[in-house]
Amino acid sequence: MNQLLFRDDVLMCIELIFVFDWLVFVTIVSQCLIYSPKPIIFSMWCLFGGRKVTLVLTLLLISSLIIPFLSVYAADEEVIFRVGWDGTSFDTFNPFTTYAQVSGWVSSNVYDYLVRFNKDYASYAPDLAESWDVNATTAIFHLVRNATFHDGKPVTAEDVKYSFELAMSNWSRLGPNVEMITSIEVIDNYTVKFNFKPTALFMSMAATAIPIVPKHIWEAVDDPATYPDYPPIGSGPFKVTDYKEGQYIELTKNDNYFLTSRIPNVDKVVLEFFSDVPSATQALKAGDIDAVGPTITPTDADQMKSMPDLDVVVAPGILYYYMAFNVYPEGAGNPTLRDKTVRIALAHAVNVTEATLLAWHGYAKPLYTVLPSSNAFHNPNISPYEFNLTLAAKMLDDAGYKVGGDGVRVSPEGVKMEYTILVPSSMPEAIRVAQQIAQWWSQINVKAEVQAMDTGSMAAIIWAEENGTIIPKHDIDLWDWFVDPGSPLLLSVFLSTELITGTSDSGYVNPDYDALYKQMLNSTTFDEVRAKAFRLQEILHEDLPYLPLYEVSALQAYNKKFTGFDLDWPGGPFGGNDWTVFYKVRLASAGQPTTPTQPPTSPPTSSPTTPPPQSPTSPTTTPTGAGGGFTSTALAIIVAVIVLVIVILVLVSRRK
Amino acid sequence: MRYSSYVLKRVAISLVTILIIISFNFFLFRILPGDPVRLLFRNPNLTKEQIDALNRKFGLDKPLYEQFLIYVFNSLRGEFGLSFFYRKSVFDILVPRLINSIVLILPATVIAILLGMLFGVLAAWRRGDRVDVSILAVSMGLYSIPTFWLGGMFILLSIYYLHLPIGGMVTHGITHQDIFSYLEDLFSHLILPLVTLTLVLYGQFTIIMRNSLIDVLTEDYIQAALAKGLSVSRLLRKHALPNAMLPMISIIAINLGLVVGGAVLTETVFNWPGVGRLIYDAILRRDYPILQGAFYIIAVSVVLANLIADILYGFLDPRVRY
Repeated sequence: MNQLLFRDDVLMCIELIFVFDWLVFVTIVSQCLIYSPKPIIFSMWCLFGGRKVTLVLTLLLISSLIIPFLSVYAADEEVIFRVGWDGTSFDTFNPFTTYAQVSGWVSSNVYDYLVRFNKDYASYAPDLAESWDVNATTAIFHLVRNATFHDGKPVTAEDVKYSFELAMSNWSRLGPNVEMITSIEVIDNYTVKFNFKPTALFMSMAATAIPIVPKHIWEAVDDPATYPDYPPIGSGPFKVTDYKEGQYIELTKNDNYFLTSRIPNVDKVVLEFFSDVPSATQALKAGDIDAVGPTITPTDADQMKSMPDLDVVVAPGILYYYMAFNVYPEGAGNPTLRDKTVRIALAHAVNVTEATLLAWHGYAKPLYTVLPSSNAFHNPNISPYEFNLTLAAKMLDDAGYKVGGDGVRVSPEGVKMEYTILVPSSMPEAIRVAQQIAQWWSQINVKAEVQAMDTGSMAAIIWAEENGTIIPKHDIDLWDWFVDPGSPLLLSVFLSTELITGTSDSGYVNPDYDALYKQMLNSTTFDEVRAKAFRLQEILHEDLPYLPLYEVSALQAYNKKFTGFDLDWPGGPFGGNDWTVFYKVRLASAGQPTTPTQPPTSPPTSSPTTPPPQSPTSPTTTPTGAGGGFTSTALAIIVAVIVLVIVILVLVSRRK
Repeated sequence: MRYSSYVLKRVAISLVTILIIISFNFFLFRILPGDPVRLLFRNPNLTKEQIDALNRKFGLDKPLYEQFLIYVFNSLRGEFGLSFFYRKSVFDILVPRLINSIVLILPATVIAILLGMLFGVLAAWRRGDRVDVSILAVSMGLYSIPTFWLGGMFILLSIYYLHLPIGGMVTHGITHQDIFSYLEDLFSHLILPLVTLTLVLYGQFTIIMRNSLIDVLTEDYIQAALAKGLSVSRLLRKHALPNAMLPMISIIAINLGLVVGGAVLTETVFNWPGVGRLIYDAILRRDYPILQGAFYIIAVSVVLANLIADILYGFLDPRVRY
């Protein structure tokens, strides 16, 4: 029942025939109009030369014209939750090779993990492991006994071991998460033991991150690195029942899921892909989808707040914007930026609070460290560089950066303080902020020019390759990071080794930092890790390779028809991080007998901007298809217009 | 020159063109700044070993001339390789997208051509008067309207009045009861993008049809035919249109060839999963194999359409054979 009735290629043929029919129809109408204003039948006679073909085609034509008017939708009793996704496109189902956030979201619903993160990203919820025993070098997991994959085979310790081994392969994206593992032992069918190098991060980095895949399927795969894994067979609360690249993924609930408390309330979740934010928000307003993520614009959020059907989510953000200074000792950027005093003076000349308001209308807040506040290792004690142009100018004066003849400061070595700020052209808010910052800097006689370009071109400047080595050629870039709420791994961006991997855009080199980072990974208690992460953030605040600007709240919207999910998950319920939203979501009216959809007290406002009520009659039934009745009326209108045009043209040419 | 040798010559020229385009495609995309692997996977967890492994997987570690030879050899076999982003065969990604694009763009182009011819003829016949001026004004207007604006207006209209679906190809997640309900669904999704694209394409055909027909209508033999007492419809059909059609054929050929190229703006505004959007995304991601595959198919179809137009031309107007 969960499958389309027709196979794809059959549907394709039908589509083409359908289109052809309409072409014939239009051809005939135009033929009539151009050559002689005589009845349609006559024209068809001319067109096909009066052969028998004409008869067949006429019948085909008439049938295809009538079809849209005759067809009837049967009411569909399934509850479907549709989520519009306007972020990075889906790439692959293979959980070991995907880099797209939305693919990870699908994996987290199709596959089970040993344990899951709770909302605070510091504690864990049981998943395939019902209990566990962890210390600094070993972890023993006791698996549930009734878990099965979607194909009916049981999930055992062998599958767990195999999945972790796949993750440890050199082609796997998850490699860095399981680096610390030294060996995996299967103790019995439902007990598995891990040995690893001393660390406190095994649970948060490895146990929560590795999807458990069926060994019996993956073993038979020739090359797991290019295996598309469609349809994915996992043991999670959802199965993938349909997928069209660039269009949608259909997830159907797994009735046999072992954790009865996590069996989904809706029958299906459909993830629909949109190429940009405006088309996704329009679809939500039109009622085509029920929720939209990972982001909408502040303007849309303000507007949606006034719409009676919709609600806006403002959840803790996992995205932040920063300015990176090129501080690489051998870099080809403006050398004045390698002077710490200059960077601090420039930081004093940026009004972060105002920049935040400028770009995001109050849906963002200033950030003073490199981990956003939704991250479990965010250091809240860092005090910002105060906005003070006089102080900034004085610092530069004292350091010998005197104002030159053309009003631009010159370093003691004679280098002008002229910078280029690179900004991704796809982020209009960031461009505005960069221009404002350039304006502030001009007040302390520092010249900055904003250059917007696509991220590929930016990357080619920031990590310019020369004779096999990488030389950063930019001065400053304004960019963003999405930060995993559960791990401090973003701090690795500032390691001196990271320029070659294309993650460090500041070229920061500090051996003390590198050493402390290593110590953090090898710490054996969570508190110790946190203390070291705090210290690392302090070092970065003092040295300032990055000037953090602001973190953006996860701004999403949904239709009030649905409820039941958390609104404050880091990254928001529709941001791709919340693995619970799909099984928690339910119809708002379910379980509440005969609740009127419209409160009797609401005043009958009849403003033209009020959208039409969405199927108020029976909330347990999804709207029938593509708005069946509307289509017929639209078709009728089109046919009427065509007839009208014909009549007018006939009259016009008769008069001649 | 005999007609058959004219055709042969055309075919040979087309083959050479395709070969040149294949080589050009390779270098065109590699001029774009930015390294695909570094760009695709901007991820703080990535290690140097993983980047090397990805480069090896996609053959990006080989010298450029070797990549080029492999590419040319594979292209000739119709093999486009593995997409960097989807990590899947380019062919498997391209074909469904192509069909989606054709479903939208072919009807739009054909309707636009027919409407353009119709109103072009009307305008030419009534040249100088109100009918001509209004048709010309509308054509010019539609020709210069930005696609995304027109699409946006239709979306607004749909949200408040028409209530047609504004994105996608079919409603996802429902089980269509039969072919008819599937078609109705498809058609309701097709209306807005189809109307938008048709209107945007319409202008150029009208203007060209009108201008070339006016050229013909001022010839002496038309006067002679009128003096003979021919009816207007017969005059247009038998004497004027066949001569005026020659410039139309080349523009129609180019447009029909471009049907497989997708319509980036319309597809983006209405979230239509066609080739245009695929190409746009692929450019941003530096997904060379997809770009090469898509441009190869577009080039081949434009060259083929032009070849057919040339052959038709030689048939319709024997003068061009020499």
